[in-house]
Amino acid sequence: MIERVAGDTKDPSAQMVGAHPQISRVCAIVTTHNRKELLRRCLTALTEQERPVAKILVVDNASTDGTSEMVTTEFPGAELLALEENIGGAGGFHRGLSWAHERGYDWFWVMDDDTFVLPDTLEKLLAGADRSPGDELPLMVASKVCWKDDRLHPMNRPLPRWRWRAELNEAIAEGLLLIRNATFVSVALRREAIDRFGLPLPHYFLWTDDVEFTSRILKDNRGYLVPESRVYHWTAEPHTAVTSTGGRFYYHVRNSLLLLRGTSLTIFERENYLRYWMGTIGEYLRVNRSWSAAKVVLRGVADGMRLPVR
Amino acid sequence: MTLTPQSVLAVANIGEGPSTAQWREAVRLLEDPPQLMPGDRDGLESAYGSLFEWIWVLDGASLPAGDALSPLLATAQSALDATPPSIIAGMVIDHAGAPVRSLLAAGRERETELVVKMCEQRVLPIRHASLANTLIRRDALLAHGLPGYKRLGRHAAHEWTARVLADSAGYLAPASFATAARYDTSTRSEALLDDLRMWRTGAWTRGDTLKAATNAVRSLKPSS
Repeated sequence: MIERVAGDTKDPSAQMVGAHPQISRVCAIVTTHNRKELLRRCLTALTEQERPVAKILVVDNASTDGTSEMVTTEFPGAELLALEENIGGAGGFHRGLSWAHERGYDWFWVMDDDTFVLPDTLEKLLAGADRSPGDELPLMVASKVCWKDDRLHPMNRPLPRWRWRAELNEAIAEGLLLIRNATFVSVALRREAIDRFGLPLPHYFLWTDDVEFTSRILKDNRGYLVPESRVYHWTAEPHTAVTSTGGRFYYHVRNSLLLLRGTSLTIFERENYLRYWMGTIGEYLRVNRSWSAAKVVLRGVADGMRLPVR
Repeated sequence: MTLTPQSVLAVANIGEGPSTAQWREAVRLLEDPPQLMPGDRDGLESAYGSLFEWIWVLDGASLPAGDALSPLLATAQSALDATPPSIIAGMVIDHAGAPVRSLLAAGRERETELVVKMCEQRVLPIRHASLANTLIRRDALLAHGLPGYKRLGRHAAHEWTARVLADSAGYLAPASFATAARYDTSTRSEALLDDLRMWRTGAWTRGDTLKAATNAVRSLKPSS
C-alpha cells in the first residue's frame, strides 16, 4: 500500500492511504468519565499507532478523579474538551464529533475510554476502507471488538447485513463484512457521514446512541467490519445490557424504545429489534426478580414513550 | 492428501436445465480441467456411481471462468473447521457481471463468531446454496440422496443443501465465478411459494423456518 504525506505541512502525521486520497486526516475521539487508568492505557495505545492520527480528542464528562489533569500533563499533544457536567457517552460523542467536524478532519475514529487498540488497528481499519467494493469509500468502517478472551465482545457483536446478499458476498471476497450498524468501540466515520446524517443524539445519554446513529447512516449505505483490525473492549466482565450492573438497564429500555419510534431502522428491522428488546426485558426480569427491577423497566418504557425521538 | 482438479468430477445439474455440449466444452477448456463422465452422462445422478470424493456441480447452462475451480478446492482443503466441509459454493454472475440473486448462497445468520472468523479468510459460512457452481462431497450425496427436483422444482437445490448443511459445514468462496447463460428471474410470489415448499420438507430447523417466514413476509415489501 502506497502512503504519502498530505499537503498539510502543519500536521506531519496527516497521511493519505492507497487509491483513495480522501483518506487523510484522522481525529480519534475518546469519551471518558472517571476512569483515569483505563483512559491512560487507551491514550497510550492511540499514540503508538503505526499509522498516526492527526489529533486525539478527549471529551471528559466532568470527571472528578483528576482525568483532565492527567490528560494535560501526560498527553500534551491531545486536545481536551472538559465538560462542566456529565452529559453521558451520547452527549460526549455528540460534542466530540461536532468539534472534530468543525475543524475539518476527514475521518473520525470514535471509541470509549475502555477501548484498547493495537498498534496496527487504524492502519488496518483504513486499509479495509480502501479495499472496499465500489468506487466510493464507505461512510463507516468498524474494528472487530474482542473481550479479554479474544472472543467477540457480546456488547459489540457486529450485525451482518444479511438481506443485502449480493453486496455481502462482494464484501466477503475482499475480506470485509457488510454490517448494518456498529458500536462506539473503534468505528471510523467519514466526514461525509456527518455532513449527510448529522450527529449522535445527545439525549440518549448512555447506550443505544451508537446503534441509532450508525443505523441512521447505514440505512441505505454500505459500512464494513474489517476483521483484521482488532480492538479490546476491556470491561470487567463480558456483559450485555441484561447482565450489566447498576441502573443502566433503564437506558437500554428507554433508548431502545426511542430507536423503535425513530426512522433509523426499516419497518422490518424494527420488528426484529422489538423482539430482541422484549427478549432482553424478559431476561432482565427473570434474572432480577424484584419490584425495583420492574420499576426500572416501567420507568424506561414511560420515558421512552414520552421523550422526543430526536 | 492434496486435492487437485483431476480428483474432482464435474457434472451438470440437469435438474436445473438440460446439459449442453457448450457446457462440456467449457469445462474441458478450463486452465486445469476436472474429470467428466464419459459419453453424455452429465447429470448429478451419474456422480453416485463414481468414486470421486468431490463433485463439482454446475448448472447445465453455467459456464465456469477459467480459474473457477481452484478457489473452491482451496477452500475445501484448507483447515477451516474441525469438521471438513460438505459444500463449497461459488458465485454465479450474469453477463453484466452482477450476481444472479436467485442463485446466491445464504449465510449462517446465527453464527456471528464463525462468520467474522471466516471473513478474514474471505469465505462465508453458509446455510444453503444453489447447485450452479458448487463443490459437494460425495458422502453428502450418498447420505441425503439426490435433490428432489420433481417435488420442489427449481428450489430443490436450496432445499437439498439446507438439509446437508443442517449438521455439516459449508462455505461460500466468492472468488470462484461461473457465468449463467440463462438464469432464473423468479418473481416475489414464486419465491414465496418456494419458501412455503421448503418449510414442508423438514430440511429447516425451527429457527430456519422462523427466519424464512420472516423473509417471506419481507419479500412482500415493494423493492425500492
